[in-house]
Amino acid sequence: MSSMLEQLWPVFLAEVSEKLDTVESLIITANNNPTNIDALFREFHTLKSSFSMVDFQMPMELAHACEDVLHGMRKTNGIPTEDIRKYLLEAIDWIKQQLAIASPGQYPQQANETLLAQLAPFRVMEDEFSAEEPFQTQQTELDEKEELAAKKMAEEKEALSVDTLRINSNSLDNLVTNVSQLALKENALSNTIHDERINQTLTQARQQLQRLRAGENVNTVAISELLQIFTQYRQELTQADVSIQATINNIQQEVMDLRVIPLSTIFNRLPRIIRQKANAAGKQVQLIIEGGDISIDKGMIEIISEPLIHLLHNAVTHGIETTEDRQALGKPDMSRISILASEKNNLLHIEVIDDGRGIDYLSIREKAILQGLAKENDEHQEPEYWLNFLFLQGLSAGNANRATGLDIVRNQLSSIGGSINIHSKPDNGTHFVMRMPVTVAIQSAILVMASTQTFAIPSRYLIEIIEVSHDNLQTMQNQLAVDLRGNMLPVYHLDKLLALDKTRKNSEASPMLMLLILQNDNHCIALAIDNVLGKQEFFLRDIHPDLRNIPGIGGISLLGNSNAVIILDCDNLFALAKNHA
Amino acid sequence: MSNSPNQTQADTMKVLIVDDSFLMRRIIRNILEKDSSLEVVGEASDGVIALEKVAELAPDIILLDIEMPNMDGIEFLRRAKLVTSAKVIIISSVARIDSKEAREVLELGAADIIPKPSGVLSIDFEEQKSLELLDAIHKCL
Repeated sequence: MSSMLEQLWPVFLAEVSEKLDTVESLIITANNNPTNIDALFREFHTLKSSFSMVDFQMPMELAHACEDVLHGMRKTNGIPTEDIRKYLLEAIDWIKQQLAIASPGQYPQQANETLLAQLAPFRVMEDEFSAEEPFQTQQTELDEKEELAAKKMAEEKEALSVDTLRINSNSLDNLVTNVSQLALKENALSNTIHDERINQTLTQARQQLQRLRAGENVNTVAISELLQIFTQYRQELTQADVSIQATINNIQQEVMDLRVIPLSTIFNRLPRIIRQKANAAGKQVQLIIEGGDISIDKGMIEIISEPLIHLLHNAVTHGIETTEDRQALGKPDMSRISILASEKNNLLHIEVIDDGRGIDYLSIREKAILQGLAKENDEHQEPEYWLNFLFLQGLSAGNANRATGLDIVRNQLSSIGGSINIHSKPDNGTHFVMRMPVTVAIQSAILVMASTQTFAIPSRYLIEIIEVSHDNLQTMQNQLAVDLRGNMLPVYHLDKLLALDKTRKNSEASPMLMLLILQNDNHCIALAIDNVLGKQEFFLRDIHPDLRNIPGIGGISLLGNSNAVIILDCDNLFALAKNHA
Repeated sequence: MSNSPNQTQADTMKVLIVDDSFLMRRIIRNILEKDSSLEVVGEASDGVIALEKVAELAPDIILLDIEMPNMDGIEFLRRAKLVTSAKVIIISSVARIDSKEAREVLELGAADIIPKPSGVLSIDFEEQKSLELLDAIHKCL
């Protein structure tokens, strides 16, 4: 049996290393900031305890000395001098060295006498100050300040929760390696391009051409040699291209992976939300959460949090009975809602299960027939068949029951290529299963209208949206242009670029023209459209191979209402614009 | 010793562990798992989170550290006393029995102060230190 020490050694190492890194950056930025001194004191204190737990004496003593030094500073509002900072940093380095040569239960026994002696004059033991009375009032004052700071920090933490990502240092290292490889390969390519050999070959080719023009004899052997050199040269360039492409693919993959964060990012916020809702409804709810460690794309997390909260809201307010009703049914007062996440066949499953009143499929059947969603002679007996009607707009909308908004939930899920199922029995609770892909390519895009069609334009190309009157447009060399703060930008109509149907909704009739200012590395253009519908995050679907070669079209995605939308390929659009002119 | 690790009592005591060190929480949890009369229902890494957990989990026993970020153990104790009747046991290396902090937490209603079990993660003393800690906890109840 492995001992607790061996079991927890990795935890010990991870915690201590993290603390040491924190301490290091705190010392460097300490200055006169009392909050930092406080934090430093606490970190050294924890370090001391951690070393004490594993009985690793020498680093413990040194951490203790540092703790005492900071304790003194904390009590006297002192600031660390250059010397003290130097000692503290040396202490960290030394502790790191000790850790590097230690194994569970096997510790070096040599103390760092020099550093201990250097720190000794600055140490202030706890009891010296505790004995003094005035410290009591100071402490309460400090407490209040700390409390305010803590409160603010907690608020900020919550607001920041999805904006900050924790990145595995390995992925970052890989990324750095790949980027430096890319730089090397680019360097090699640049060398190939500027190869002196090529200039020589070109000169020789020109000489042969001149001889040909002058009617002289041409050396066919020399020409075929030249051709051979060019062919070889092309091969080298192709190889460089392939190799650079491969590295770029790696980088793209790694960057996508960086966006992957654990579900706990949203799961951790749920208990609070549930508790508030449960308290408001006067119900007792026990929340069970599993699978928070599963990681998915950050964009997906943002997309699924809404349906999830929706289902939970329905469960608490409609699904769970009042305490009296539960007692009458012989159910325990404390109801139970479970959120279970799991990964199966590359699909993420999130189940929301409650032990509430459940849904009677016969009542759904009745409503579905009443609203003309099902035929009267529809004799399906399976409850699931009828429960699925809850996801239809007619049945879910406007019903003050637990189906409220289920159509929205389903549309949100289908917009990322997911689905939702329901199982339920009267008095036996309801069980939702959401399924969605684990990996997605998400991009944010602007939705626009042109020639009665909706298009999405990736936001990263958009500089701004302006409205100009037709009078402000000018024609230069047969090209429509607009003056944007002194820069003349060519204006193209999106429908003309894509050669769409000519039945344009008399955009000329409207006095104003809406222009998207788009920019890539090389060009800046103004794209005339009929209307801007808004901004949205898209889950990019693979486009059908037959559609892949249509100019200007980059992909297809589904909107929340299940309508397909075409995502424009802007780089391609710029090329089209150039040809158009 | 007042604890008997094999008892199968129906009314186990629910324990909340409050400590900013993940390692420390793991150690305490590991030790408490040896005692079937105690059930660890949750952990918190500072006083703010601990207050939420107290409301959520209604523990019978709170094992509390003093030095923590955001809200320390003393402030937590001051507030927790208003909302829970749980027994609060301080496990800390800050508070020596005769120190100002020790007097303060006892005045605030902490049941007792137990020093952090130094050397608990060592091949030789693990068993003994674990039992000492469990014993100390049981003495407070």
